[in-house]
Amino acid sequence: MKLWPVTSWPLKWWYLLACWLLSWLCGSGTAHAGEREAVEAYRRGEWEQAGELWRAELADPMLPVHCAERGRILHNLGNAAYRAERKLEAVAWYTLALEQRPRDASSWANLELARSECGLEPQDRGDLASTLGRAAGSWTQAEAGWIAVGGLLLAALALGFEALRGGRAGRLAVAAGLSGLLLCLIPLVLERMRDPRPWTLCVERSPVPLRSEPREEAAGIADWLPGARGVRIDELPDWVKLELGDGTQGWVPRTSCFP
Amino acid sequence: MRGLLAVLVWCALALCGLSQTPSVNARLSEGIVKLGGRVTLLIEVDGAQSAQIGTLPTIDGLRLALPGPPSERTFMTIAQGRRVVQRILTFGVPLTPERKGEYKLPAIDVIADGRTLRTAELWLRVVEDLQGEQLGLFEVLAPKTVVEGQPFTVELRFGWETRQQGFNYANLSLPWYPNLGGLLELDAPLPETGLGVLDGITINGQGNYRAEQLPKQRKDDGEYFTLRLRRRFLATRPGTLEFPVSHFEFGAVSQDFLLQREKRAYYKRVPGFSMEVIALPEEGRELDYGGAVGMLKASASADRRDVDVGDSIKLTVEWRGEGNLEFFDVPELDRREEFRPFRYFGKASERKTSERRTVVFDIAPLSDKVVEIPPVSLPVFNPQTRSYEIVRTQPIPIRVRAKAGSTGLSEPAQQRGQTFDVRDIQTELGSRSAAWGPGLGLISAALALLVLLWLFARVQVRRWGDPASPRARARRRAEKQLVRALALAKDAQAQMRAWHQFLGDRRGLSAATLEGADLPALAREWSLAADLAREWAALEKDLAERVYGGRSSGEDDSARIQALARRMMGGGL
Repeated sequence: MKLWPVTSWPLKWWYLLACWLLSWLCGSGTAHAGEREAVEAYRRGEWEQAGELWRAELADPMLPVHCAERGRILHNLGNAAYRAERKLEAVAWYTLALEQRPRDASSWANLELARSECGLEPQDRGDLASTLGRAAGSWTQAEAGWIAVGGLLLAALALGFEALRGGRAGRLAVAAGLSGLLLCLIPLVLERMRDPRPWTLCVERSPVPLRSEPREEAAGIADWLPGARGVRIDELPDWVKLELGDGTQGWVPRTSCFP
Repeated sequence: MRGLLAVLVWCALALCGLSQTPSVNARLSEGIVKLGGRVTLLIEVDGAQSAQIGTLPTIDGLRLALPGPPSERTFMTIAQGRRVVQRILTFGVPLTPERKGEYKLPAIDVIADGRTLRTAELWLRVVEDLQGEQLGLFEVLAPKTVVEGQPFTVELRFGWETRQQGFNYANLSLPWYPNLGGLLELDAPLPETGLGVLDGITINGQGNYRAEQLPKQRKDDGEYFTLRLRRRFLATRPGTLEFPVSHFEFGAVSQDFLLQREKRAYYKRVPGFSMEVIALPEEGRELDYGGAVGMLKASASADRRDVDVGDSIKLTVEWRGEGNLEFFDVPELDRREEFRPFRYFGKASERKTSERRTVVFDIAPLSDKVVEIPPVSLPVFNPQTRSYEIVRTQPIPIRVRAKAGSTGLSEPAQQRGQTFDVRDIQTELGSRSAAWGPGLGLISAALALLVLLWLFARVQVRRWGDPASPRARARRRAEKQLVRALALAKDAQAQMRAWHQFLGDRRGLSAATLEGADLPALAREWSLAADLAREWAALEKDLAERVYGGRSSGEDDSARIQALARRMMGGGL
């Protein structure tokens, strides 16, 4: 059996392009159908069905891990959970949506509303540290990379000027260029510093005891507060091992975690 | 006012219990003692791990022996919802009166957990003889058992035989009043109507108390003129309360014409007694139990029963009965599920007395489907049945009408004409292409390369001299200076000067050295092309003729000079 139905290289390229276009069209056609059904179910008030359909879209292997479409679906899943009165779950969906599209105003508004209705403190508390953190974290990984490239160009201009002209003006230019570069590197560095391990959110209304071992009788060593994050470090069918912000590790029932 | 003070003291006690701040309390085993008898000064230190009595005072006529090691009592109580272990150390200081008289025991320092505390001053009367047992009447009526937090009344009945005439003074010696640890005094009950009152009674030789005059009482074949004094207390901690010996001192006081006071005193004694304070049980305690103890009843009324949606209703709830009405926590309606169809604005007013507790809640129905104000329930511990029970008001039927054009008040925000809701789902498809951006590694590599390039360029540039030196800066500025100077030049001499300045700046020479210089030699040295050298020489010649030869052509050579300057710069100048 021949792998390539065509032999010459130009024809091979055309063949590959046609295959890719076909698969892309088929893929987007399926997504559109699923999306239509999900939207119609949502409009009918069938939140659970809408959520299931959007979850199916999310599971599409053709959907890249980082893309705007994933953020949109996550936002809609948040709305479906909110309408179904699972507001802590909605908080988790909106938080995930903002990781894909950090500047999406609707997801921000919905996240803050859901958090407030769950009795959680706002994601953006409005103080200086929170505002700076939000400004620095308002970029996707790709955007942060390109911002850093912009900073590099700025620095290159400044260094070139200094190399050719020297003097005080040159030194000032280097200082300004490097400062600009540092500023432009902040989003990328923060992105890099973010814990890459998957996180989960406590979706219980009351604190969940963090147990030393994955069984109900084990001692509770800390409380996992409603709406608090934890990093998944191990999993069993009914239990999830978490690491809390203060480094405490323990097990909680899987039903208390989302996602 | 007294009630308010009592609440403050209650809070202070609760806080003391929580923080375990040591406190000290002193009392005598008897306030009046016969000469030759013994009396003990009891000093109780509450909430301290260790305590020590300071130097005992020296009192003329009274011998104070050194105290022995303290006895210790430990018990558990609940203060502000927390279980607190309390420890009480009791020191006994034996006192021996050596002669009759009235003694003032000054404050004694007690060092508890490193802190110095002071007892209150106490009074002791030593008499030759405690006569009058048959003449007087004295009874202390108090319950044998109470529950922690339960108010109770101690009734003191005292008097003398009606056959005795001329008695005009009465003093109650109560060593346990008012500072008995574990007791909090409440407002005294009001005098019973229809009974006469008698003023001027003293307690421990102080104050002016009003006693109720009871009907004459017959006892042991005698008839007694009887007075009554009632005091209300609340037990703040479980355990045994020890009431020391009490005396009723009565008799006649007269003054002769020299204003000398003559006193004829008799005494009636009541032995000490104890009272058991039982801790509130854990079993059956509701989660929202607010500390109510007693036999209470509740009633409720509403100021309006026909309202529109959102209209305020003042719901008055009153609890009455025998209990700690001043102290329990009133239910919070906004935490009650049954009051969910109501908006709760808070408590409009609250009144506390020993007989009733009245709270006015401000609520508003949120929907026209509300048909009644639900019962307000209060968990209470009943000391009679020794169990917790729920005291409820009756539900109050109401009619709620929908406001015209309104759809209800499901959310507080709607009252202000605002609605908060999530923003809608997003139906416009987003980009499905994975965004790519350079990572930190690539950026770091590019930065390193940039730095290397910069260093390389820097080294290369500086091989020809410092680019920031005055000569280099003058060379870079030469053309601009030439244009500026030519624009300002009014004659050929100025033009020549500007031209020579330009050449000097470009080559790092003084303009004066170019005056009359060997132009062909310079052109060769500067590697100028032959045509440029010729043109330069022609320009110099023309300028010289105009400056020195007196030829005034009226021509403006500025454009020619600038053009030549640019060509020479391009040609290597």
